[in-house]
Amino acid sequence: MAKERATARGNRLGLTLLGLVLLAGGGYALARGLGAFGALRAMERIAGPREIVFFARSPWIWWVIAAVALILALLALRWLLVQARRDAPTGLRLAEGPGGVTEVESSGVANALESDVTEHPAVLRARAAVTGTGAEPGVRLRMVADEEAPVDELRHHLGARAIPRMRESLEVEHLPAEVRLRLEPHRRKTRTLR
Amino acid sequence: MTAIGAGGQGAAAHPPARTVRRARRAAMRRFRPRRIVPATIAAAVLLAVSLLVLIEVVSGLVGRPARIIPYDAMLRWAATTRWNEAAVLTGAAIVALVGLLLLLLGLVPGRPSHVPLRTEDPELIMGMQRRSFARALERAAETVPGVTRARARMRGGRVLITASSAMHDPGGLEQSVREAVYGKLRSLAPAVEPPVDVKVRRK
Repeated sequence: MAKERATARGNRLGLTLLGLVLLAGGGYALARGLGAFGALRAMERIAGPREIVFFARSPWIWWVIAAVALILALLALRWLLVQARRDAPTGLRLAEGPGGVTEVESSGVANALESDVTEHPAVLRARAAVTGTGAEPGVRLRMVADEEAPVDELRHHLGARAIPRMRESLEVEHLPAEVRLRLEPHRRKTRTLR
Repeated sequence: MTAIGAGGQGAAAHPPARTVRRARRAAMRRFRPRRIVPATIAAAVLLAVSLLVLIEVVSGLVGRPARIIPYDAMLRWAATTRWNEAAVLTGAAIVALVGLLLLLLGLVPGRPSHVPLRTEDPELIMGMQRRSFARALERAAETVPGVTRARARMRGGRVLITASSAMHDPGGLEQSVREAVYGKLRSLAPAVEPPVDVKVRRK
């Protein structure tokens, strides 16, 4: 979850900075064309003699432009790649205890949480995934419940029982959990007996 | 199930107020949009433009201009065009507007996809889908005798309930609807309890 929030922060920073640059550039051109810096400057050519002489006399300017373009290209590439960054479900969790290393299949832990939650008659479906790293796992749960579901009961069950139980089986002290709840119109829950 | 319900929110020992506040802030932030779509577009455009400039400048510096961009024509245009021409002004206005749009996308937090629920545990973040939340409030309003239909809208941290009634004088309904909706809100316990406005319409 931490990675996705980092992407969100980065996106807002990037959009703000880019927006500022475009607003400043466009605003300057607009102001100059409308005569905010005097009627004379509004009537000048965009690439006038002064600009042409400047570029002709300072060949180093191209190196500066190239360097800036390179830095921007690298930043943009990273910004683009970071969008696909997810707090992907981890496959396996290794817990180092006094008795050695314990291996816990995280999908098994996730399944256990799913069936734990769906035991409540009001919960129709649940999908859980263990996220983060082996040392700092998190859990993400999507729940679909009946419209009449007692939300406070579900919440209490999660906070007081289901999540602590999962914390135990993963052998961690902290287990950040993110739960997304959706309600569906009232329908009789059918149960398949196995 | 009674064992689960009994503890509820009341009897259990309450965590310190600071923890509750921290939990609420984390939940509020979690469901904010990440701005993936505008950021992807902006990053792709920035990458394309800076790569083009890089290729043109470097190839020009080593003496073999790539000429992907027709910059001779562009320079000719810039050398003959004045700042106050309509094309320049239009272009500048478009660039400034795009900049303003990006600035807003960056600065405005955006509407959360889920309504954060109060959990009093910073490690447990729980959100309820917006539509589900509104629907639950509608159902609560519809339990009031005399109300045939209710619509809930959430805007600016407020909830507006529009209830329809077939009664001739639905004046007294407003209070009952308000009570029913507040009752439902108490059991849903959103991280921030929104004020409820009720309108009753005769159908």
